[in-house]
Amino acid sequence: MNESNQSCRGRSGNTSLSSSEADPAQTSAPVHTAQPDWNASRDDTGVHINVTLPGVTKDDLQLEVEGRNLRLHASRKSAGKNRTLILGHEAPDAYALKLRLGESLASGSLTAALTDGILKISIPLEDEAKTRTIEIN
Amino acid sequence: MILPNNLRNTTPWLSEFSRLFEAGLRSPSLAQRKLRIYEEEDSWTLEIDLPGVSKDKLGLKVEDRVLRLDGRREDSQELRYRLPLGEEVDIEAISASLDLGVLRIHLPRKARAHKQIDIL
Repeated sequence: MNESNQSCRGRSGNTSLSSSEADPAQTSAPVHTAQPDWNASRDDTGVHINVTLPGVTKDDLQLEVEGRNLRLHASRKSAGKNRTLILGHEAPDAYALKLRLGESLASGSLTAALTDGILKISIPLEDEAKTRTIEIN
Repeated sequence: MILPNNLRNTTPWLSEFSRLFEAGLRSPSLAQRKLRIYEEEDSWTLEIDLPGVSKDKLGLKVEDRVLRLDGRREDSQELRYRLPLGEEVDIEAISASLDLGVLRIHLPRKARAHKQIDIL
């Protein structure tokens, strides 16, 4: 990430994204659903989002774009049942995140990859929003 | 996250651990939901969320009965955990795994020396 990039952590900043809390329907369920840590940066090509999802496999992750909304839901695997937590807080059972994508983003061309508990999402800019250099004759 | 007094006094291994952690807890990064310790019948498991950290960026060793974890996060931030191990931990049998951005350190309990006494 170079210095000219706009970046933000868990908030919208100027990256053509806005977030809302996890769906109320999901938080009222018996499972403990948390909003994952996320940050986003924007460069000339588009917006890049990193979502922290420790303990989540690709199969347990759902990512969908509906209109201008990007929805993420992931369940986290817990190891071991016959154990007692003696320090710290229990990890969430699931993560949910909803982001609103700006008009300038080509949400149909979104790409995503999950590695070592980090989901990297890239959304390119719509052609109209890209910087165009105009040659002067 | 700070341990109640009853736990401190009855579990020496844990009190060692908590003393270290009360100091560490002043740092807001540690107060987050990233570190957990579980107790099982014959072991403890230390779980730390380390998303984006690869195995080759982590060093784990035991020196003078202190478990030392050093590494570097993806954002180049330094990682440093120190955990004094009590006498009950079987140091030779400690094992660790890193999967899906979660580090699990398994700390087995030494076989308790006990003798059944028959009542005549």
